[in-house]
Amino acid sequence: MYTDLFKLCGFEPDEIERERRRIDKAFNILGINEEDIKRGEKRLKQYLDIELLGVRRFLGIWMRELVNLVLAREEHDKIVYSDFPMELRPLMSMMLSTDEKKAYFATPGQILNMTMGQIFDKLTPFLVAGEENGLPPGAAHCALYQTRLGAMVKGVIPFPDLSVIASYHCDQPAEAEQLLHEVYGVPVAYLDSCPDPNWGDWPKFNDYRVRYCGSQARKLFQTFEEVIGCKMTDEAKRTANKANAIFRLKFQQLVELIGHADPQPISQTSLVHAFFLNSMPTRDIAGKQEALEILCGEVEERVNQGKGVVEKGAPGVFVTATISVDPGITRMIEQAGLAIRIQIPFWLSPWVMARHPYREWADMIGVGPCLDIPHSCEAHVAINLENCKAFNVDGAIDFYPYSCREWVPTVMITKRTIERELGIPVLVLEGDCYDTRNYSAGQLRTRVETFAELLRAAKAAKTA
Amino acid sequence: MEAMKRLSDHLATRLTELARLQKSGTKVIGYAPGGYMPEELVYACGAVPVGLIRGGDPEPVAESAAYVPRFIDTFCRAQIGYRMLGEDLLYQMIDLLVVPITDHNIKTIADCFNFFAKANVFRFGIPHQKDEHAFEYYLAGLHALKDKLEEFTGNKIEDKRLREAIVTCNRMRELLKEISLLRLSQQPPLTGREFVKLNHASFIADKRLFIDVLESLLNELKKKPASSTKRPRILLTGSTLAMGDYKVLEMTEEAGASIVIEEFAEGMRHYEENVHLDGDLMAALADRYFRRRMPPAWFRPAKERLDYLIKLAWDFNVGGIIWYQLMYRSSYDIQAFYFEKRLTRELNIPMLKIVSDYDVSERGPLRTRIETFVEIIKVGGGR
Amino acid sequence: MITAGVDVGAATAKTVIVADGKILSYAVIPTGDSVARAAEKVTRAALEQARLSMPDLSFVISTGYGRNGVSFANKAVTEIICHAKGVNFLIPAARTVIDIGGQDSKVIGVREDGTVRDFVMNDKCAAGTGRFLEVMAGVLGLDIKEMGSISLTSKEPCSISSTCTIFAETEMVSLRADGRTREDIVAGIHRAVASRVAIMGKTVGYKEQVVFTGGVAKNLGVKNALEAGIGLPILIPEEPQIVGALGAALLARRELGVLR
Repeated sequence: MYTDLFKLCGFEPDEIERERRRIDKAFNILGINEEDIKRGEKRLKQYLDIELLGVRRFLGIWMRELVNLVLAREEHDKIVYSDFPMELRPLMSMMLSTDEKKAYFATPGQILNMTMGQIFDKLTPFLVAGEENGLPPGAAHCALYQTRLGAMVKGVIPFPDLSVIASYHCDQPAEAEQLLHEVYGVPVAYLDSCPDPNWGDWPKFNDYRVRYCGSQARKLFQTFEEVIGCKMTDEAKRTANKANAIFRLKFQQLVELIGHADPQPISQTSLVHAFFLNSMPTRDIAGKQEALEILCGEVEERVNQGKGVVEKGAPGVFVTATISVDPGITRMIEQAGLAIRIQIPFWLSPWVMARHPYREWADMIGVGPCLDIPHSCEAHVAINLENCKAFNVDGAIDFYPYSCREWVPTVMITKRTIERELGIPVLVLEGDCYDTRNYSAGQLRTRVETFAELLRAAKAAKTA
Repeated sequence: MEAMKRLSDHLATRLTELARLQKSGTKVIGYAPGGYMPEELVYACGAVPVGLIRGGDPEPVAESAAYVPRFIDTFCRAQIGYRMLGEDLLYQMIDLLVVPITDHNIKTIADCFNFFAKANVFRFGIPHQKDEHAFEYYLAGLHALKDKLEEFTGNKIEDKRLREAIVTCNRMRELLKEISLLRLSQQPPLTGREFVKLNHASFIADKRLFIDVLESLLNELKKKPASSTKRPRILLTGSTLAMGDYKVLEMTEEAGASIVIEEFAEGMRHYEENVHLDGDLMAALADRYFRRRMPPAWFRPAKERLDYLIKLAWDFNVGGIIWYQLMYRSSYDIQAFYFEKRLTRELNIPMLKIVSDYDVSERGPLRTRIETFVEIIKVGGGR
Repeated sequence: MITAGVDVGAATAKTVIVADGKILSYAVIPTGDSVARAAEKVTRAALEQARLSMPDLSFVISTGYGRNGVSFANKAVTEIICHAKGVNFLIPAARTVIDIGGQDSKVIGVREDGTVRDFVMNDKCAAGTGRFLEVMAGVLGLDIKEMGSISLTSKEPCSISSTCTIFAETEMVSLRADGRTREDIVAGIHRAVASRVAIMGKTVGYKEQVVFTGGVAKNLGVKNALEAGIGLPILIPEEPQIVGALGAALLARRELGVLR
């Protein structure tokens, strides 16, 4: 029943046969029926550049993780959960210190989004369960955390033996995990820090902030060792850091290639499954690197042939908040005739790429590049501005997730700053990355089409 | 009461007085609430601290929509509203705004004042847990604050002056505590609303005069004959109890209950603990303001706070808890869910959760809910 | 070269026919429950007035909420773009457009050439739209058309601060019970609508001349409240309802490569 779907996700026929028993079991628990599979196939063909092997390979990595996640309790001794926006490298360092059989690591919210959300559009049952169990509607709770809580409460995915979460980027993840602890008894380890830099500090960090973050990372590793019963190894840290750096830098090359090309060679939706492997821990390091190499090759070919998904000469835009469960929105922006040169947070800005005093230390404990966005509102806005400059865009679209307390205050500041510094128009769209019920595609379309028209007129006036 | 009248007369002219002080060279240092900014440091450099804790009005909240989308805690949105509306002298006059960064809602106040009001803002961070490293972090923040205040005012903060300031603030806290604890009695001599207003006044009033008022008031209250009626007793807890946001207090009293103790992260001055005057004074401040301060809901794990609430409910012999939070304060929203379960398990008393967006029309439905809740307590869901 | 613009809103459908830079005719009808039928009907009405028929039209642009349901349109363009163009034609000095319709409200920054500089819109919430006025008129037992003139007789407008239409209804009822006069309450309602829109538009910014369009523009009470809210004088075109369709018809000319 799902053979075609899995082929679209880069599976070879023999792997499908080998895994049939596991896939059947997982799909049964998830409640995926024939209608869902047909919908999934349709969506993949409609929204992604599915003819590219690289895209299919990335989809495959996420589908495998979905099956692994659902069956984790019976296949592994211990389960460790985390989720966006937790740093990947500490997670991978912990993961690679353990035997595959012993410990399973996952970011369940992300896995469900990329598969049940993006592909099957079947997240509502999880969202509703999350709403009924401590994260009610009407209070702007993060839908990512509603999803994963709901999935656990419904028994579709197991409760973990340890939850590891970042407690500084925003408040919601840590609070939702507190709930897991208080109501379901799950041990939680927090990576704490404070978003307290003063306006004008950026891009500097103060010493004691870095020291504190380091102490918390060490504490995190200790808790992990105690609860899971193993020792972290330096080799695991080195491997995690190296693999991440190689993947991330290659991804950087890819987005720069796409961002400077005209016409836009592939849809930005095709990059999402690749990008979020920068925060989802998978043991298939070789697989994800290979998929990326393949995708890069395919995109290069398209660029050389001048093939594109948006008309050549279309106005270029910077877009924020990759919509992780609704590829239709990103596609809609492209179909309105706007070339998306770059999406946040795909591109590593110069501050991150430059050497700074804490680079080696940060690499060691794995709190590197992500330090820039949670630095401050000022940094968030500065990075948005830098993205616009680097890709010489004609306009910016700040699609903000309404329930994100970190993001919300930056929105009007970003608009005013970019308009003032670069003289380009900025469209603010209110939406939700993780719950399609919280916005209307039609209303977004009216705004995007207007903005596209506005940019085309401005571009025509410039060349006239 | 005579002392209260003295206080309200003083408050009526306080802003003019502050403006006069400012004109003659004294700096007025505003700070965002949360209980992490030691006023002692401000006094020690010859400046005057004022807490920005106004709330309850819908207009500043509506005005804030021009600067930040609505999905941030109501109180925090109101702050930029007050500043940009330009009608409240206190919000316009401050020379510097100190914002201890606790969660992202408070941080929004700092971002808006920095960017839209172009105000002088100084931030330092509050970790979300209490290990030794967190203590060091907070202490480092206090040192950064000290440096900033010295540079801003041009006055060095010497131990002698800091010690004096600590003694004064300790005295104020002691008196507030004594007055508050009078409500342990089965017939409290003052209402929740009276105590809260008194507590709020401490953010604006002249310290010496305020201490004087407290001493007189304490005497008056001790002499007051006990009232005959016994009213149902309630613990009021939540995120922010702002100056001007008295609807819950008023309605609860009108419904025939007494609020005998409050526990809020913001808006209420914390008076249970004093600064110990031994050893390094900065470390002593950090010890009181961070280590010994009862944590708000954005501390994880939540155990210390929840244990404290249970103890408070027990000590004050309350029949029920009102959990009053503002819209979109996620830490409180989530904690209300699991705290209620624990409350039922351990004390078996009811809890009423109220969420406010400072909207005028909340009043009708709010009154109904509070009246119903008080009836439930009277009939005795209890121990 | 004869072109037409068809604006299908949730409440009303409008068609404007333009030739040689002049308005030939226009028609306004209720949309009803079929976008396609309303579009056809209103266009035929406008054509009849101008003594033309469908084949005479060189290009048709549809706009408004129902723009994608107009089968005979050559192109669909959003109402924001069309509004800006239409206002620019009627009042060339216009630099800001405030549009309050039955279901939504917008503030549009317009350039000298009629293109859009920036915009913000509210189509999620009834407060700040014509719907708010309708609901309140219903509660007071008034005809919505009378609301404007009644509000002008108010000496002391009430302050209605509820952000939600449902709650504002309650607030109004209690004002009535407190003995506030009808005109003060109605004036308060107008202030509430104006205030919502004025704050929303701050992100676009208000530059003179400020022009008020949409169904609610006929309400002098809201106009006055808006002027007080933004601190600038406001102009209202003679037929504020057809501005979108007019702009669409003008844009249609551009599609044919006709110079302005």
